[in-house]
Amino acid sequence: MIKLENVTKKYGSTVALDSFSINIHAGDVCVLVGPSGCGKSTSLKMINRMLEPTDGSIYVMGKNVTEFQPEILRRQIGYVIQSIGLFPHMTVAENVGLVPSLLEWDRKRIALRVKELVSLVGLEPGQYLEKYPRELSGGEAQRVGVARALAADPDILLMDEPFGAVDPINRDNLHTQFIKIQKDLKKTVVFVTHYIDEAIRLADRIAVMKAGTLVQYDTPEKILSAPSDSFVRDFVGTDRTLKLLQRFFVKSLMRPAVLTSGTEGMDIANLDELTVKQEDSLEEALSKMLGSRLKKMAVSDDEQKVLGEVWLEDIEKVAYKGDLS
Amino acid sequence: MYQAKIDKVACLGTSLGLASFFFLSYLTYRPNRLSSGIGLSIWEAIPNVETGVFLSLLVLMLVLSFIKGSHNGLNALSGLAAGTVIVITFWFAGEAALSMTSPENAIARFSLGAGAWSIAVAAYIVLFASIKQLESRILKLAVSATGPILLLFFISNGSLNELSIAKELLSRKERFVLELYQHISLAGLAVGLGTILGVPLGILAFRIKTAGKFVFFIANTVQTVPSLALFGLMIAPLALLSEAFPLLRQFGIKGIGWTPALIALTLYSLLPIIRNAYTSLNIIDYSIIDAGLGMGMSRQQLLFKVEIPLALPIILSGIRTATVQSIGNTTVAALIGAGGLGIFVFQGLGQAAPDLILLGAIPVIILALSADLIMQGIIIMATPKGISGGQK
Repeated sequence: MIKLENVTKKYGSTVALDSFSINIHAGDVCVLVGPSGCGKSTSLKMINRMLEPTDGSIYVMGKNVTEFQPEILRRQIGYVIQSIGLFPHMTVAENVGLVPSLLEWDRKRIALRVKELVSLVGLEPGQYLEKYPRELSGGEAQRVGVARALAADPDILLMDEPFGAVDPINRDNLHTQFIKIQKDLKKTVVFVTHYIDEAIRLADRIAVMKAGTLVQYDTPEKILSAPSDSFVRDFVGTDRTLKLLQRFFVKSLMRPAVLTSGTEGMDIANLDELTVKQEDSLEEALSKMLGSRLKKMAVSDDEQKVLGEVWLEDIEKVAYKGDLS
Repeated sequence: MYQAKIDKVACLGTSLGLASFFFLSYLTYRPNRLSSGIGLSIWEAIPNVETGVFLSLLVLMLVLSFIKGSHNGLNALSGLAAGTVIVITFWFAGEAALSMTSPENAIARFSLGAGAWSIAVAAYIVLFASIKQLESRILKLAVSATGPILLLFFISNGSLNELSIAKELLSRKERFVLELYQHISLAGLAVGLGTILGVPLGILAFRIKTAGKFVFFIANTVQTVPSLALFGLMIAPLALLSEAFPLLRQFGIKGIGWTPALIALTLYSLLPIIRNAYTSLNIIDYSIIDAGLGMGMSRQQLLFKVEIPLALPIILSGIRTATVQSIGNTTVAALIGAGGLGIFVFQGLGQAAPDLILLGAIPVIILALSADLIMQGIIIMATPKGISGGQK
């Protein structure tokens, strides 16, 4: 879907990107991650020709980007930036409807689309459409920014640290929302961040970058279980095994329930601490097991009905091998 | 919640009014236009009943200034009282002048004394302080418009005709209209030219930093030259130019008169306009431009849909400053033969006729204030809704 071939970008004598190549597949969330100045934003901005490479070629949807007129190319690619850049003199509806109006959709279609998108990102259209950006909180503005990028239903979404400026709780909500939306829409997303945790949570593939070069390009699981060198290992952190467990869920390790000790006699207030849910990550399960000294733990549903159990040794295996096999 | 609270500004204003009422002369009587005057106090000049009305209004204002707080009704009352005081200051003076004028002293002159002017100013301060406390815009407008409308009524029905300033006006009515027109067109043209030159220069200064330094250096320097000196400086080069190319004279380009005045006034109006045009672009967050381009807006769409709507209010407020300033500076242009209301000011100075000076000065003040008001209205209209709360 997106291909960068030996792309080099120089600013004067500084080299921002050094013969950088990457191939991003359709429907993937590809997260470019690395320390400041590693060239991740630069490569993102070259995809929609906000920047031009000094050398090398970039292909989008099978065509060299230079074959597109920049404006035409950009209207087919959603673009979200950290500072959001909502237009302060336009309402939420006008902001979201901007690209469709540039594409000269008729009004009714724009209005319908705007409503649809605003609800998609979790905002109530009736309440938000006529608001101005200054009346929105940071998290709300960021949602509107995402809705705006999705407006013309582009196949590709470029996101440059889109959730960098929101507080942790809001960021968590935005992540959940993003994963949910992406599951339905299956866009090709190029996402830039310097938070490895964000990359692990959202990515299908992570590209770790350093000083304008690609160090490792792989699934989050592989990056965590088999970092290619000490730079990646340091970058993902010493708790990479725990982070890896964030990528797997209780559901996939669940065994039939044969637990002898039921929940009778247990302190009901602590019940939450002593059972896990199917959609919990293995990291959460491990944390609960270590905290309660249990080697096996019941998996329950919302009504506290026991569905099965999860074993500590299974989790250990996953942590050691890096996959479910 | 209503709470009695002293309004310091209104209180100070009223005290000034009361002090002027008792200690300054209200009317100046001169046996003829140029002789020195004799001051008359209010009670000497106007009948007792009217003095009583005058004083009670001032006392009412004083009481209100202590208790009105932010109460809507009391503030409206205080504003109306102040407006009425402004009106009767002039109206009663006009009546007094009429009653004291008789066929045998037809050449005698009655002018408003220092007391009358300072009472009017004091009442204006109170009016302003009271309006500020009012909540609704309509009420604000109604209270502030009452005074001027009544005053216009008394002016038009001739109640003030016996005052010296009115006599000065009536004896040169046609000249006044002509110079007023000249004043407005000179100031207006200068601001117009200033805008046509200043806005692009501001944009240039923003786009090219080195050019900006140069532009601002020139504009700042011009601003520091006193207006009188700048008008004087225009004379020599333009005189030489018109001597060298006599054809230019046919277009009015010569050392004195309209052209040098227009050039100087245009140069003056440049700085505020350039500065605001520059600032207006400078404060547009780069992320907005980035987002606009990134979504596929063309440069032109970005300019018309984003940059201009955001920058316009600030550019306009630069033009507003330039307009007010230009109306004032045009007064001085009369010195180099450009005409305008300054003519009366300088004639009055030459003849030691204070009322003639006022005939020139007062319309200049009124022009400047109304131009300011009109520009404010335009700026409010031009400010996009989404940012209107952010700036005044």
